[in-house]
Amino acid sequence: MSEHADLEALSAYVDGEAPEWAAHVASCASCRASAEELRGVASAVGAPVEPADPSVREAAVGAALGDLHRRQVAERARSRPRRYQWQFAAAAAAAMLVVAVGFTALLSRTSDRTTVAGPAPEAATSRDQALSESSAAASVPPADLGDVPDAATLLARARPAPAGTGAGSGGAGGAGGAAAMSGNSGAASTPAVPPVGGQRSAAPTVAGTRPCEEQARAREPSLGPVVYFATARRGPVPAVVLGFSTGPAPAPVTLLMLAQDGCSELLRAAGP
Amino acid sequence: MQAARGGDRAALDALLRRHYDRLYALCRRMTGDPADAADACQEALIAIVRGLPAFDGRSAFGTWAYRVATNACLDELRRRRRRPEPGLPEGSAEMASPVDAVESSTTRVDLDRALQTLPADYRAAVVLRDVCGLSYEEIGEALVIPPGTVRSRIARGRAALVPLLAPGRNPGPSAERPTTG
Repeated sequence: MSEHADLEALSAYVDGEAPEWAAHVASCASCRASAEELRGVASAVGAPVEPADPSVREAAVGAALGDLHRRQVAERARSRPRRYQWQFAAAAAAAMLVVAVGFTALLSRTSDRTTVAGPAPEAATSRDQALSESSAAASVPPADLGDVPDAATLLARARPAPAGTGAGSGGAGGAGGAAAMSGNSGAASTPAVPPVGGQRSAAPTVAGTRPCEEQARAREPSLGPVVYFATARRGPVPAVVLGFSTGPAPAPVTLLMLAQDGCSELLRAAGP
Repeated sequence: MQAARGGDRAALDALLRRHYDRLYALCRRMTGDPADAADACQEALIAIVRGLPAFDGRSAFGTWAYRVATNACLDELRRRRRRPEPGLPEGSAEMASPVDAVESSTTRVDLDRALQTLPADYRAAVVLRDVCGLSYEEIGEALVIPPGTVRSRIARGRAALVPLLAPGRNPGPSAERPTTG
């Protein structure tokens, strides 16, 4: 290698990519000088770069990860319709099931009402039958009289059956109060009326009824057995309506409308 | 790396931070401007994250990342050429081109401006070698050119820089040497 190295050979030699020129460069002043020039340029270009401001780095990393996040979200959105098809089908099936169950329950309830509220004077005279009806009524939700502003409305809507005439024989009030008629009429018509607590075991399960009944009875011990109940409200105040028998049929019924919360007396009416 | 390729956010975060400074240095020398370098580097990170699932691992991740960053720089330079240049300060009309600016200077030429006088392809080869320390083979992979072309571009690029970076700007003996190609 007596000839001078060309530019590319010298540049490659500087980079360690042409070691075969090492001996020549070592012995050739001209090539050595050129190699040193190229090495100086490489060194200058390769001088450390002032790092970017940390905020710049954070912004760049954040932008890259943010871009990834957006694409992942978009990807999920693209794959969502297929999943939603299943969700929609499941929701539709669930809705159909609810409708079917509700319809069945409605039919059953109507049947119960017919059984309980239907006129059955003969049965009503039978204590056993009355207790049976009372058990059926226990599973029936109470009637709701809606917003009752005054005693006259209360009386008109409730129209409770007189004690001893059988549940629901008084006919449904505006809100179907007869449907919730207690089956205690049989008990009420019998002198050996069990204590109120005992009656409740056969009475419809209305939340708040028993405490209010007990409080009303504590305030007014002369109240007879409960022969009627319903729910109602006075304005925004939810209430229960209890009909207390004042004596053997056809004694009048005292209707008390009591606030569900606290059982304070909201309205009072006396009906036939 | 596998976790990052799978889209694991924490792994990607760590990977990007580990390589950021080197990629920024490449972008800084390629663009010659800190703001442009920051933009290019950010685009490079986005492109890396997007392309990582398809990264086949045939080359080292660093080599591949440098390739992505180089392309981001070339894109940034193309955008910069399309951008209207801000008005030059008074009395600077003679600094219309980097070469003119370099040649009119009586002091040591700024490295960034000197590098900007090189064609982008040459500059990329020189920077990948001298800033990133890649071998000629790796540079060939990064720029998708044969090693012989890498060797030629680096040599010619350096030779062009000699008079710009050497004291007195006299063309050195290397500039007089013949080239293979």
